[in-house]
Amino acid sequence: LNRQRYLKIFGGLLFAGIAAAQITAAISSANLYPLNPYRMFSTPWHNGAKMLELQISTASGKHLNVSEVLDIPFFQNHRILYNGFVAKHPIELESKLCQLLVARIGENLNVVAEGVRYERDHSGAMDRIIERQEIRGHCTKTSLPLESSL
Amino acid sequence: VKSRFANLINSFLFELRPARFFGVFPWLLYPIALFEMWRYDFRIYESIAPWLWQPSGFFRLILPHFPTISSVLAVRVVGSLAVLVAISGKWSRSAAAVAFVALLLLDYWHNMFGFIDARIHLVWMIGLMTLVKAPSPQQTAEADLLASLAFRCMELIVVLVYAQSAYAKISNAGLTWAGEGSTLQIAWLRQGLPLGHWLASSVLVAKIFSWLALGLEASFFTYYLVPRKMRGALLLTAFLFHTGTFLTMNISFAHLWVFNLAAAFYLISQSPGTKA
Repeated sequence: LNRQRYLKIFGGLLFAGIAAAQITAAISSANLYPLNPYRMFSTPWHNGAKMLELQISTASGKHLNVSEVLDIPFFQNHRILYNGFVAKHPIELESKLCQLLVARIGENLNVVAEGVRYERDHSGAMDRIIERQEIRGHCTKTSLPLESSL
Repeated sequence: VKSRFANLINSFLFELRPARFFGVFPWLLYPIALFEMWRYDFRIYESIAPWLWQPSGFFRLILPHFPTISSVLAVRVVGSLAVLVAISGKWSRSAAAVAFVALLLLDYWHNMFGFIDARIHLVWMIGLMTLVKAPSPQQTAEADLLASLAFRCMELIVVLVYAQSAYAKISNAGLTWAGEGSTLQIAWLRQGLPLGHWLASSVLVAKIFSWLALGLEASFFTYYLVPRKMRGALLLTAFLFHTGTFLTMNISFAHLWVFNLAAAFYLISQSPGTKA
């Protein structure tokens, strides 16, 4: 019976601890991993959303989706995830990505950075508008520190 | 009053007898855990780790470096074997503990790339399986007590997922989040599925679904105040919500909808006199 009593005390503390930890994580803006609250799609975009997206094409002009080249979720979801990372290291990120892609498929690539705005048109339909477009660089297979690790 | 409160807590946490639930749920949960252990190609992650892996939170202090691929493989193999042992029913609690540690490590290594995912809830569910003995004809009082506790903790985690999601939306934008609808509309367009693309062409549809989503998530604030059949109905509605996000945005949190489905049927099927 004593053992059951201790188990009940442990159980009560566990339940209360989960509730307290998750509520703290929900209120706090700090990264408290592994206590991650669920915040997906909570950012308000009522003024439209602006983000940087990368367009990749081969030397022969063929357009590539990043996920066609690298079958990992980071790149499959690049449009969402770049937005977070690009704010930190835009040029370094694009340069590294360029190197990684070239190493993967073995040919020269052009990387075009597009400043894109998501905004409703006059009918209310969501639109993807390219605000600016620039060629960020042409990376060649000769400058590939990552190739060996792939 | 103190005694009545203690009895209420005791009854709520420890007297559920969820044997039927745990007769089914591990068979749904463990295959998802096994899939998650092998889902990502860490060989490619190793090459992007030097510039994208940024450890943070508690684990940064004890595991600050990205692992070698052989370490990842070892954790995967040990974790997978533990899941298979746990499914077999022998040493299920010890095996669940090993699977929990393995899954937590893999989730940490993956999560520190900045991914947005809710897989940590799966990790906690596997951790809570360490409380659950495999069903047997001679179930002891202690095993019943722990199984009840495990169900209540899993239920709390799932309830908090939706409540936290509603809180995040309301604290970020208030009811405008739903009234305006553009967050969902943009998400539909960006996720790139044909159905999502089509839905994104209507502002009215985006507003309706935004209200439905926020309403469902916010209703989980009342989860513990409503009768058990209503809780079952809420969980079933959340299951439909996940079906919708999968069809329109290719987002699936299998462990959540699997729990929702199993728990909803368990709660609804309880006889009126039970304490679920």
